[in-house]
Amino acid sequence: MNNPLIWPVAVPLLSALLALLWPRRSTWIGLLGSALSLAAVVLVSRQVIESGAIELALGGWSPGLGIALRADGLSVLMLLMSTLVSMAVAVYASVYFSRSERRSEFWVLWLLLITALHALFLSGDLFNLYVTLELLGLSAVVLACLGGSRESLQAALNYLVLGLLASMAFLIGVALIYAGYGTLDMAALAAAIESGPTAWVALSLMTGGLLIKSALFPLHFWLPPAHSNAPAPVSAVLSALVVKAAVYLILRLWLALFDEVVTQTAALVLGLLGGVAVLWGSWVALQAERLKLMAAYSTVAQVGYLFLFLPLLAALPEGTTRDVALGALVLLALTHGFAKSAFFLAAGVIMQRAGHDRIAELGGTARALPVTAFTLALAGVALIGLPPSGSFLAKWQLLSSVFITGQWIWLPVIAVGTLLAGAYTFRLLGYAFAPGEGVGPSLSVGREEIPAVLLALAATLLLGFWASVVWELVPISAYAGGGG
Amino acid sequence: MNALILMLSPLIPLLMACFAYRLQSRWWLFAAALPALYLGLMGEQGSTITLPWLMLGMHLSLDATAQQFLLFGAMIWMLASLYIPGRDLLPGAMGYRKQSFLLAMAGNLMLIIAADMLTFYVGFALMGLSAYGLIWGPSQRARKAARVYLVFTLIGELALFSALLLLLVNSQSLLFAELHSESIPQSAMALLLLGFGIKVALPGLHLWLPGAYTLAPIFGVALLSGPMMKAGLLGWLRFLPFGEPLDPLWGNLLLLLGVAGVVLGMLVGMFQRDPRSVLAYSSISKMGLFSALIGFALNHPGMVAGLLPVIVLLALHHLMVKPMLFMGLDLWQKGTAAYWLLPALTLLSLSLMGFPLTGGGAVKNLISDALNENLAWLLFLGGIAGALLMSRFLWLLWTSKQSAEYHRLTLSAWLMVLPLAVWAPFAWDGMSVKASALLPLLSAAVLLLVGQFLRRRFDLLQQPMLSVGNSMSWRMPLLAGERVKAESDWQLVKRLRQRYCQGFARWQVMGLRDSAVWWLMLMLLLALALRN
Amino acid sequence: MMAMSVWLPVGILLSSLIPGVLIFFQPEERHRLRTWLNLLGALIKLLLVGMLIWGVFHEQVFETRWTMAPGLEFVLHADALSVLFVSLSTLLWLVTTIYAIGYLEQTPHRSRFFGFFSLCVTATVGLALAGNLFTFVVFYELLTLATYPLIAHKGSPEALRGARIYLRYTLFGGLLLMIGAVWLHTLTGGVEFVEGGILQTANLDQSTLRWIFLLLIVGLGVKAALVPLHGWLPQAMVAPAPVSALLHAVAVVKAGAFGIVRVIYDVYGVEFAAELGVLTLLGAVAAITIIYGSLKALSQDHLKKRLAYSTVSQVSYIVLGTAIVGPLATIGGLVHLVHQGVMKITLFFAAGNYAEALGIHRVSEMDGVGRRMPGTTLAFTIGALGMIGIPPVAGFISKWYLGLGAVEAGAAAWVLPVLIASSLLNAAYFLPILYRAWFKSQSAPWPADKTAGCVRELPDALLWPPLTTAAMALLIGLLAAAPYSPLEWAELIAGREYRQ
Repeated sequence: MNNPLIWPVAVPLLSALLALLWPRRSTWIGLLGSALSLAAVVLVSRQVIESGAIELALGGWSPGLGIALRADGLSVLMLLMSTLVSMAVAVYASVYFSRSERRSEFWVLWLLLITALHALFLSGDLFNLYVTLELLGLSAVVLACLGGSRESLQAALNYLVLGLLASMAFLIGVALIYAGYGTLDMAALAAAIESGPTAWVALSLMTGGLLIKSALFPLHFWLPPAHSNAPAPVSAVLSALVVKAAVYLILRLWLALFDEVVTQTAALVLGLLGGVAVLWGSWVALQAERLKLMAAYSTVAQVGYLFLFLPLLAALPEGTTRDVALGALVLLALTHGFAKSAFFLAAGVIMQRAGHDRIAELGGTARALPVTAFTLALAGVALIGLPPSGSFLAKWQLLSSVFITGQWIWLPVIAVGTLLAGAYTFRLLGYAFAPGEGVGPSLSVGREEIPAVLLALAATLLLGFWASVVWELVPISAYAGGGG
Repeated sequence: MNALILMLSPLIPLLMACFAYRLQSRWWLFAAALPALYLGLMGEQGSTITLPWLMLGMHLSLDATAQQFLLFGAMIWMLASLYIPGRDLLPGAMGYRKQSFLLAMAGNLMLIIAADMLTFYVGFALMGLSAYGLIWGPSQRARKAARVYLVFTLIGELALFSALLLLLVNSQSLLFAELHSESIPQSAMALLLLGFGIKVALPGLHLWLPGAYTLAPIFGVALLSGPMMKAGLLGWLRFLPFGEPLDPLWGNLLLLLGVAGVVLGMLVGMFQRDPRSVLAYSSISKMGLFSALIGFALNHPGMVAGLLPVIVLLALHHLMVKPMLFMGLDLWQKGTAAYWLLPALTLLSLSLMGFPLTGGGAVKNLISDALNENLAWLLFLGGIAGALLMSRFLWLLWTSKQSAEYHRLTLSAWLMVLPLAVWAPFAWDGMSVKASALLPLLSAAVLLLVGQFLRRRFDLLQQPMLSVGNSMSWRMPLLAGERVKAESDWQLVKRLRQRYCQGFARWQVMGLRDSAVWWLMLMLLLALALRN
Repeated sequence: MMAMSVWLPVGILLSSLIPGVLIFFQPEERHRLRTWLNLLGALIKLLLVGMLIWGVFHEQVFETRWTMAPGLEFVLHADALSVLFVSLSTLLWLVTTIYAIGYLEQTPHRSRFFGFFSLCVTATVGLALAGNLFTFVVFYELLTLATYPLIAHKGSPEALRGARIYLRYTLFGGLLLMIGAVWLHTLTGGVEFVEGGILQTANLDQSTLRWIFLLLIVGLGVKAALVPLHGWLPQAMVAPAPVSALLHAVAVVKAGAFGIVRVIYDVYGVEFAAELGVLTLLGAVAAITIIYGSLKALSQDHLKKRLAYSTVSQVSYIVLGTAIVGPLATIGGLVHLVHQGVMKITLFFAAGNYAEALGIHRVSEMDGVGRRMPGTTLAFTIGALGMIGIPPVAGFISKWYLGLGAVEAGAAAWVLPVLIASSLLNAAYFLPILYRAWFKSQSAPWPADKTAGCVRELPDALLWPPLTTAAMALLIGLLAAAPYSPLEWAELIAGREYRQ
């Protein structure tokens, strides 16, 4: 079997089964599973880089009937991010949950979540997408409950209800498409879909569902409580990966499948919502009193940035400039994924050490936990979009697209958003670097601090200096429709 | 070799200034001027040195004017160095007199031998700013006088700086030799007048002068009134476009300001009660005369060739005599040998007045010859001013009190330079008696008599007088202002006799060092006499 | 040779980056190792810069390229202008490192401090070597990041407040710079720094270019402390003395000024910028800044604050020289980049020494300090006289060329009065300090006398850096016309800029 496409899905799934069967060794199985899926993803990406998009029809049935897996540049990038982040988070979680009686539950759900994510990124047809989306949502909800507190249960319940609503809308959209075009294979659909009532309605339904999942303003209200009350590793994955999965799907739908249907106005609406999300999210993050809440609102703002790209992408003609903008979008999503997961992990370290995460009482962090403080600073740099992080490059290209398309309206949004991001980041750092005893005495560097700092370094240095890989990969598309 | 010494003459004082805190003898300061003296006596005219790597390229050269200025300047520097009080030479002394002295000397010598504008400016700035330390004193008033001086000097520097830039862009060369290829910009003219006008104390720009001259230590005043003040004049001689057609505005302005200076100095000076401030206003008056002559020369290109050398002579004469007067006054005020100092001071005063058979008189003859019947009224006015002021000075001397200490060394050195100051050998040929030369003196005498009459009649001079036009020093109580009690002639003679005996006794124990000074000065005199 | 031309700029960056990163991971007590790392890095950098100077003088090309994104290249390129700035930063970094080692002895968080210190220099050198606008923006922001912890180093509420204000200004400035840079980038497809500029041939809409110019200059003006963007600078003086010294002399303030020079000469081209009419405005802003900074400095009693306002004023000399069209003014502005650095670092070293030895922070406490600390006060005197522009200290040369350039360009009517007023004001706020230090006698006990009973004025590491830089200030003024002097180098740059 020389097609490696199955492995990124199969490895975590098998590990999940093993962990279920062998709960006492679940930590090792979880770590090993994460490592092996990382290897699988690397295998897939090598192949994509060498020979372009690849496809696998499961069970030997031709696409359209069976389950098709496809990997192109975009999905490989998302896969790489998710597997790297989940690897790091897994290492952290192995410490975080080492004494918890819910250890084995966590690892099973965790591996399922990874499976769902990988499958989602690789799926080649709409129904599969629905299934993976549902699986992803459910495992995420259960993971979010692991904190066990009353707030976290409440938040998870909200999350569940909304997630179901979103999946339902998505499913109806998928059904409409099937009714209209007789196929769910995305490659076929990309060529077939034309502008028409079916397409409009289907796209609106599916996008509506995904908007809830991606927590775009004003549908973001579920996110901050859910993310901030979950255990730290879970928050990290929720913010970094699960939200991105929804954004990934929207990109796929809008750019590859429905590119004929998408109108400038529709894109503008989403862009405007994104703009408000940037401002609102950053503003509330600035007011936040708790570290994790701040991080969660920051996620709302960062997702807003991603949506800012849509009207610009819609306005750009197909070709290099559009690929550049799309690459910037992906780069921003990747950077945010790394940075936000690092941020949440660091917040988790602080919370475990200090017993709270009230920002105003974080004095002395830099002295007691220098590595973690450093992580927060690096992640903050990436969130603001300062060099050498990947988001700096992405913002540069975003601004560049603004100037090329002449959509000046986004300029103040980006500017104010950046300044607000700077404000909340450095507000936090100001407290963290101030003298104080809030965090306890200085100890040696713990194992739990390392993954976070590696993630933060990936967001700032790796994605800053080797970002051109993103732009090389993004144009490799499995779909005729265009850049995505 | 000559070029090397040319470079050394400012360099040695500069280097000494760096190590001044170790130099605890005034002979070091004395020696610092020796290269300059050598240049003045034996330097080869026309020797030049160019240091292209130094700042923006420096050019030094020795022409006739420079040589004369060096010679007489060096003598005053050397003489003044002996007047530095011993406590200022001790380590840890307040005021940094040694450093200021050496730096100012370096600046002064540098500007004299400068062959380009920048070098001149650097020397001028160095001299002007270092002189702060020569004026400063621990008293409130001396500090204030020094501060006022500094403000004026800084303004002068900056005006000069701007003028330099304008001139440089205008002529594309820093060298004086290539300066006036083009017509000089009006703004540069104005700035030059302002920049050097402060140094030569044109009326209106003189406000720093009375305070500084009355409150600075004596060697500081001597230097300020001699070499430093003449540096401003030298600046004009170097920078102004003589012999070229020029807007008559500038010449007339300078002439006007000069005349105003003569009159102002005379009027205000007459009402001073401190001999030092009389001398100060006499300087203003004298420099007014110089300025007027320079203004005249500017407007008469044809007469420049004859006039300028004579102005230089007059300047050099003043350069010597005025410091001598100040130092003599100091000796008088401190000295026990005062009885025969008075004739010496009178001699100097006469020379400054331009009395026949003195150097001053000779130069004055030369000037009136060079002017060729022009400006006779100015010379007349200047003569009256000089005579009145000097009479006032001598009168104040006569009535001022004397203390009971004196310093042999300074006195002997002063006496050595005295003949040089009065009969500087550069004007032998003008040494003649002309009736016309006495005219201003006679007029002054008449005026004095009238004044004395009026004084008796109305008690005019006994009112405390404010020094007119001097907003800075109006609060300054005049120094030796209190009137001296009348003394009967007999008492006076008795006192003088006592002094004479004491003084004579002291001369018996003249030390080796003093004889060395005498010897040196004698050699110098001989050298001067043998020159030409 | 080929390899060296690629690796030399990177090597210069790494020579401070690697020690910086290593120092971060050193435990606090490994004092000796940290010192060696610092000094080794500084010396290697000095060596490499020496090679660079030689190469650039002989018109060799040093360039490193690295594609970061489509159309966005990370370019390190050494031309004459960058060499000027690189050598200044390298030299002063070495001196400041020695000073900082002495200054911070026995204080906490030294690893952190020296780590960021090295990063700060890396960013500065990167700015200098940046070969295009994109790279410049990258290092400009990095500089902000590396300096923030240094200003906040003491951790006291004032230090944090100063750092916060600094950050507010610089993030805002960085953002505007970035927007301007991106805009220009989209119009031209890439903004390489080329001597003589690239825009005059690009045939773009002039009013757009004016707007972009405004954005760029405001962005850079924040760091260059142009009025009214200067508010952070007096607040940032709460930083430790070596940081203030580096901040005012090389790193932050100079980065802004250097950026303005780059934008005008190597992006717009000075003649084209004059054609656009933007230079008049810039010149006016610079003139206002010069006067305003001096006026504010007059009323400050806090020594470092007075120096800070003096920096506000002095750095605008560079901007002024840039805003006047003509090679002489260019020389004046460029050479002041170096001269101001050397003189101001001297002043800050001296201010740090006063605070360190005697606890003196205010001008009014300085009576008679010249007798107690003659070496330090001598250095301070030379620096202050240079700032006033008194020959032969370096500041005079800058003033001379600025004035000459103004006269040559026909701008004498407004530039000369500004220069004169500024010199007078400089004298008015520096000379009283010198007067107090040298001429007055001690009027009150020193606030905190830490060196009482010591034979020496201060330890070597604190005394020699200011003396060295003071000697440098004196020498580069005295030997201005000598080969390889900053002035000669500025003339070389001006010659290349006006070659077209």
